[in-house]
Amino acid sequence: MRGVTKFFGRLEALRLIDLDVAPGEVVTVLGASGSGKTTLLRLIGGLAEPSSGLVEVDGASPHEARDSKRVGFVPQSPALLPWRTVARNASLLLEVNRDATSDAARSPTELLAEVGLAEFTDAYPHELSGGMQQRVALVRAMTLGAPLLLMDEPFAALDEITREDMRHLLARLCESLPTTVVFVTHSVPESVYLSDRVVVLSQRPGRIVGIEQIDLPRPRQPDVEDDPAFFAATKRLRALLHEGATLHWTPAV
Amino acid sequence: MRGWRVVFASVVGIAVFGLVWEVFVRVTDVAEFILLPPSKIIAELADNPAVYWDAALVTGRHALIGIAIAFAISIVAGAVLASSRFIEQASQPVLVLILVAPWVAYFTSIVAWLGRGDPPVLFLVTLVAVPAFTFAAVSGLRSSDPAARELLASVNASRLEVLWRLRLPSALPVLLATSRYVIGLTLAAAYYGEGGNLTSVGEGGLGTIGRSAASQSQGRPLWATVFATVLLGVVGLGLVSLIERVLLRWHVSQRRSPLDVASARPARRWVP
Repeated sequence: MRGVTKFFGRLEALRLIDLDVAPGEVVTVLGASGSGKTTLLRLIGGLAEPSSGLVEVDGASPHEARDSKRVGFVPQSPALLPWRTVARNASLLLEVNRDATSDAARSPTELLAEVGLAEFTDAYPHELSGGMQQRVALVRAMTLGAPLLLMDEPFAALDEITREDMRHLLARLCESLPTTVVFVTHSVPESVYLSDRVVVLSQRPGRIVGIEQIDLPRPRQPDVEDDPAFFAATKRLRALLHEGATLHWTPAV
Repeated sequence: MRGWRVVFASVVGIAVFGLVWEVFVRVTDVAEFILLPPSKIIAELADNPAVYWDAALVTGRHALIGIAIAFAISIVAGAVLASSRFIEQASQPVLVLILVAPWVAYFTSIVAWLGRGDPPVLFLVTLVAVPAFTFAAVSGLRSSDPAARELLASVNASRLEVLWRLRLPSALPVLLATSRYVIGLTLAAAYYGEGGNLTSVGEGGLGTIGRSAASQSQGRPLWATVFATVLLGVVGLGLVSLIERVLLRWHVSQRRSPLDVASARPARRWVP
């Protein structure tokens, strides 16, 4: 993203965002509610157009990336189709726009087993808990085998315990993949655990307050959360967030 | 055994209603044409079962075909209307006009246009059913999950794919619910259309018999046709329930309450 600014009418959601994400990197966008982090994600995915500035995915426009199904999107709510079973929900994105399905596409059944839902392939969404539904949503995005995964606060609606389990699971899943991941959250521990770099956004209009490198050992293990280095990172991020919250609002020139 | 309780209660309800009706007619000695007691209705049906059965099939056929055509039209119309607020707002007055216009008044014109026999009846039945189904289709198509729509946009799904995979299934519950009350409407339209069609009794439906009975002040055939039409309606509602049970297995309207789960067959249900 280069110099990306986004207005909704007169509301400035994002201002002058410059961000480069390297292939295979896991980047978290961290910010409070209203900081424009979801907007940023949607701009990358081409679900919204920037008011000014440039967004490129793998050298192509986001629209082209979507056309060739190179973007796997995980929305905030699982958005499972209630009339389809888990297995058919997981394969939804593979069925749509079939010609564009890449050779790197993965088997939904295998992925469902990897996330622990092997016994629930014939269940309907209403029979699953929130965490289970979100796991199906994850599988659905990952089956595409897309080089880019965009996740919009997928664990926001879950309780703390389930959230922890989910981020450990996600870290394990991403470990084996060369996928680039952009993950939006307002949870500091989540961002430290999952990412290589954390981008901190200020209050509206969202600007990049800072980018933190997370140098914890990979592959991430659950017990790294007790590591003092983990705590130090969360401390630095909280300071950045605080800085972003107290930035004065100046009208865009 | 919840199901049996419901059936038993309904039977009791109907029996009491029938009893009150019968007693009322006998006590007040009202004329046959005004109100026939259930006993005589059943006697009339039992005297000429074939006549009423054939007529019921005709009326049923009219209503069913009309509903099917209206359903198909309304899905197409609904998709068009749901895609553009402007078109929707422009069409709304027209649909309302159709909804409130007294088809009783303009039906003779339809017969003059389409000739005698099935066409005018089918036209009328379809016409009265279209507005209700169309409103339901628009509302249903719009009720699809916005997050799911975004998800499909993230892989550039075509409009047709979004319609087929997301919007139509989302619209199904409201469409089926609407069909319940459209049944009464279409049967009335079919009955009226047959009566106003002036075909001979031999080829006509319940409405034909009813109209001729009414013009000759014959209470028995008249009320027998009314009763038969009601029965058709009940069968229709039963069919809709059955269809819902099959097609809407996933929908919240088909779910038993959590209190029943203990007594039900153990389902693979995760109760948090």
